[in-house]
Amino acid sequence: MPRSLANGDYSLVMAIESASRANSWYRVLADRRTGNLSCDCPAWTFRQDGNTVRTCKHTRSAQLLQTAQQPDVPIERASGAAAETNLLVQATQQQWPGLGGRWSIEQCCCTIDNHPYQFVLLRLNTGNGTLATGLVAFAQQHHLTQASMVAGVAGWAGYAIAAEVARVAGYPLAGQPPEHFVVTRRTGTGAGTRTRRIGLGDILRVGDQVDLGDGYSPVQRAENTLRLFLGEQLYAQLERQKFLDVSSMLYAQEQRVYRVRRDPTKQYDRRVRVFKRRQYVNDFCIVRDQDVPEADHWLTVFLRLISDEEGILSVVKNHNVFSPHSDDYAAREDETIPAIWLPHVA
Amino acid sequence: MSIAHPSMSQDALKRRWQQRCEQGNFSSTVLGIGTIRVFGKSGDTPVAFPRIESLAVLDTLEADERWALDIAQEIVTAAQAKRRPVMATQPLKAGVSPSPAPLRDFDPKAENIVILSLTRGG
Repeated sequence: MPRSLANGDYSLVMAIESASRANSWYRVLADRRTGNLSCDCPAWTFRQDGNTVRTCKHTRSAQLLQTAQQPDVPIERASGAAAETNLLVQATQQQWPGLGGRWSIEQCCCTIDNHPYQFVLLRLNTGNGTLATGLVAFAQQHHLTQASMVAGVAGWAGYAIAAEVARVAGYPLAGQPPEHFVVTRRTGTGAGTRTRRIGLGDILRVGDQVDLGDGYSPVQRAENTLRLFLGEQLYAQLERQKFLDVSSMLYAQEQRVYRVRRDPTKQYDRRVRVFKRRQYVNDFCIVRDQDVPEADHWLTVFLRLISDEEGILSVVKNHNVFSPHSDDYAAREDETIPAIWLPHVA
Repeated sequence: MSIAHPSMSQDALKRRWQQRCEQGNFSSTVLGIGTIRVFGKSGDTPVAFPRIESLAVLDTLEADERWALDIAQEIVTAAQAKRRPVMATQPLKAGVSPSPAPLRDFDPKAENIVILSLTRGG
């Protein structure tokens, strides 16, 4: 039987709403065997860290919350009779009528990756020593009222509490959680597809055959393509600087330059630094929307900024624009090379 | 949808096209081999097609050459239907600025076509 939350192999640490899609939920789960955190989001799902523990902004946030390091602004705190009058507690009690005990609720605001979130923490003390909690994080831009959070709190926090109470009572199967975000992976890779005739309905899956019989891994193949299309000189420059600059044609008046950066480990998508008149003003977050090696993604962004600037920028919404140094997670990265706008030259 | 070449199977056409690429014995109207690279899990799958001046000379091609050209056209069509960015570009030479160009329609003269990957705001 595959390991799952419903089977009791994991505990639900937090349900967190996607900042870009309202009511799309990622689950941050803790493996009961190892304690490691996982997430449903694409960044965690597609991240390959070798032997290290995979993380994403959601798991990192959950860790900070667990260790009380996440700075927050309290909104509400109530317990006992005061909590019973809270709309969110009442909705949860109504959806999970079997849950009895002393309820408490805490609400606070804090930011995750520059997006404001409202956290709702429900606690249930059953009176026989069981303390169960449910934590839900709402992207504030999608939830301006308390009423809009009712379904999320009752569904997710209620589920987490009910699952914990059931587990302590000796019922390991917690039942199905609410609907959550699932990364759709394309099927049909592997040796079996090498000899399969490619139908035109799925003709683009030619790009998904991992073993092409050429002795290269997908990562090596993508790196070779990057090198081929950049040429030796530009590729060497990218290897040395870890970025290449593209001068904007659309925003020539403001002398905008895109600094397309590359992760030194060649695994992660880096944010594109945006310069106006040599001033570093923003980061644009453009990420992979399909399963490709990092070099393919980097080349896609680079080529499109050169020749299809409007097209690539169409994916960048307000919430994908960040302040400078927004992805300098380990240490501040200051490039000394100035970003100089040049007409029609990359 | 399928590509119809009634007298030969798809596998036979594919084999014959691969042999032709290895031997280099193309029809006289073929300018050379073009390559489409489809970005995906494979980290780019190259698909070869015969480059020709225009589709007007299609009748001068052998069945396997037409088959390869049909496949290439279909890849570009499918990519555009799935909103994948398609570009004609060239490997760069020292000192030359990159000049990729978005492709709206399949260009049978293009030497290198790349089906880029999908992106989104993060």
